[in-house]
Amino acid sequence: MSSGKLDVASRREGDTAILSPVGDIDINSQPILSAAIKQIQTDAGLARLVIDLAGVGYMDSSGVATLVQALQTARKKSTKLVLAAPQPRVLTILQIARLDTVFRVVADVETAKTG
Amino acid sequence: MTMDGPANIRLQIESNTLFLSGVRELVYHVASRIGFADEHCGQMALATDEAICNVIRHGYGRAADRPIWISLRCVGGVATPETQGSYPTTGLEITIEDEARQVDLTQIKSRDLDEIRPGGLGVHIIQQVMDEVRYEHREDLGGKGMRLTMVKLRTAPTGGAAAQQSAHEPKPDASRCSGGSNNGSAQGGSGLKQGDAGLGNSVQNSSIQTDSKQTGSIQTGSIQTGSIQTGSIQGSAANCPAGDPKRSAKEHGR
Repeated sequence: MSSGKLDVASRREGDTAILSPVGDIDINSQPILSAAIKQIQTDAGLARLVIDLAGVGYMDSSGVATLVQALQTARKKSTKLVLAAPQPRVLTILQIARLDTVFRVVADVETAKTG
Repeated sequence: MTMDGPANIRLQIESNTLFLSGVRELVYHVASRIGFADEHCGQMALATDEAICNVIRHGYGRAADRPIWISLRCVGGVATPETQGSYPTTGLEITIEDEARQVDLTQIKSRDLDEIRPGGLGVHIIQQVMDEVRYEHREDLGGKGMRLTMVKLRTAPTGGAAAQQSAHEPKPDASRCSGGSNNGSAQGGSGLKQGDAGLGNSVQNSSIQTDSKQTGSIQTGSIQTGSIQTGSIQGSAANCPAGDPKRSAKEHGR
């Protein structure tokens, strides 16, 4: 269990942006992730956004909604969105929402950069 | 499953999303202490989180100062100091009560999960991870107030209470996207709805249910300690996700 806080770090590698939220993603912290995603998705020359979920120990449907919104934006912009390294607990909520096959989900960030 | 007797724990919080993590902690640790598997503790914390979110969003229109009551009842009893080490609890009943406007349960619809859009997942998640889910109108507040009762069995097999409707979940809207992409690449975005992070329902095959369903639950991850790094951002109630207020109000008749 955690304090419910969320931090989001981002970095750019060529035409790929990597976003790394760390903490819990719930209704309270979701706006932080959402804002970070939106900012990155407006960056010029972005071809791929990788969201590194390794540091996310908890995510509720607020987080799922944020990811779906990011996917919708990616599709509109013809860019790729890849979810990397979700913990089983996070992956499970995607499965419950039947979104685990909608998103591109890979085991690690390195794979996400090319996969 | 119907339990008599008072709750073992009854907590009142304000409808401020800042308190969600604390409630999750409470549910998780109480469930763990009475013998639930770690995975199921996380499921109950998640279900409680989703239920409270729905009350805040749809019951109270995101007002942060309204009361929400959370009650935990250990079905089958709990160990006493004299019986430490025993685990008599057979289930945990979690009740979420509010004093929001009552909703006609028969008017609450769920959306199709094939619609790939933000929102609409809260009730679906609750139903998947809990064994019993029941919505009621409170009868003790003069015509207002909703009550959600959720039960998780300690020895639940697989399955879940997949048939239930929400008192606080929005109906579906017409937005839809093609979905089905497994690569996140661009594809027909027509009809995709943006700016709707509200979490409504999303249950197919939904129906009002009052009986215990002992078919277990889909395996949901537990909540675990998350380390905090790089700075210190913490949301507040004012930072609630940008749901669609029109949708919330309209679809809940509030």
